[in-house]
Amino acid sequence: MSGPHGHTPPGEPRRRITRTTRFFVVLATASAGGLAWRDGAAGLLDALGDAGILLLLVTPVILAALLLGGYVQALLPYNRVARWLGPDSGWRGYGLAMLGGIVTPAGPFAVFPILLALRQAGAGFAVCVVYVTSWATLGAQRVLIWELPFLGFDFVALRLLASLALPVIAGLLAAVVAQRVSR
Amino acid sequence: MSFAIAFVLVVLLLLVLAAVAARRRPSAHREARDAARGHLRNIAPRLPFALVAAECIGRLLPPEIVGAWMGSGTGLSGVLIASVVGAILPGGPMLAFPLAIALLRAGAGPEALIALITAWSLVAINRTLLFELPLLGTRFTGYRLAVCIPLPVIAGGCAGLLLTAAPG
Repeated sequence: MSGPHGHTPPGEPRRRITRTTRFFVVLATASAGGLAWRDGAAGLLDALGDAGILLLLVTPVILAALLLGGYVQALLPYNRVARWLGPDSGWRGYGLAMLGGIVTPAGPFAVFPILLALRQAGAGFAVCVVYVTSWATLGAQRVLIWELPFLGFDFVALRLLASLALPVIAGLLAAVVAQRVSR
Repeated sequence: MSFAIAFVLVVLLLLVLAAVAARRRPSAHREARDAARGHLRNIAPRLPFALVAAECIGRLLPPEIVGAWMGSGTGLSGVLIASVVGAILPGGPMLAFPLAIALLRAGAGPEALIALITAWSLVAINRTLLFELPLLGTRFTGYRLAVCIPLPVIAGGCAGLLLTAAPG
């Protein structure tokens, strides 16, 4: 199977899709209304034009990156990963968790089922925190789809350099409280 | 320009993984396509609205306030404010990153923006409520969030130090 979700298709249940989409529709309508009220129709058209250009530029990147994420999801050896990060994996576990976080696809559909599988395989709280922190702050797919295109190479390099130690810091803090997180 | 670089990088990685799949497990092609299609169905209807919202919100933000609160000269207080804003920012990356460029154009400093993105990526309220809490439980989620509190400030502070060490 393609992962710990077994036969369930990837993605959210239908109801959530419409709810989240509705959030964006309302937000877009409200902010567009506000802009039209302040800057007039010309200002709104200018903003819509810019948003349209952004959409055209980002769409090919998103399509390719989603397929890339699909391959990672299909090829990742979940069982072996859970064994590598199991109890007593020590510093090697931290390193592997950090690496794993970097290559895990950007959406929450992949990372949380993996995290659950890790917990069930006996991975400690600290290793799980290293993994999810690495995924959130250093995850490669999100950098490629969103950050690099929108914010440019210099910014990405600065942010990654400044974030390199975060998973380890989080892991060390997590090790302090790990006893209190019941297993 | 950066869009083209990102596209080329993604396609190169894609070719590598597709080659691995072809050699090791040809059924992975189909699984990858199905997974991608599932995610696309989620993203496609939201993306245009998210981009319009981010663009309009960015233009509505008064540059004087953005500059005064999160500008390059604001140091630690800018980083702290940005961390709080990032932690409460709703919506996925399709709102956060377009909004980040809007803030950058409105005069936010890079170290504040890095704190904002770090806080958003660690907390991401919608994601935490929809996925982490139901799957991993209150204790795990609560302690994980508690452990992550200092991280945005550390990232913003490190970025500030790197910028002073090697300006430009």
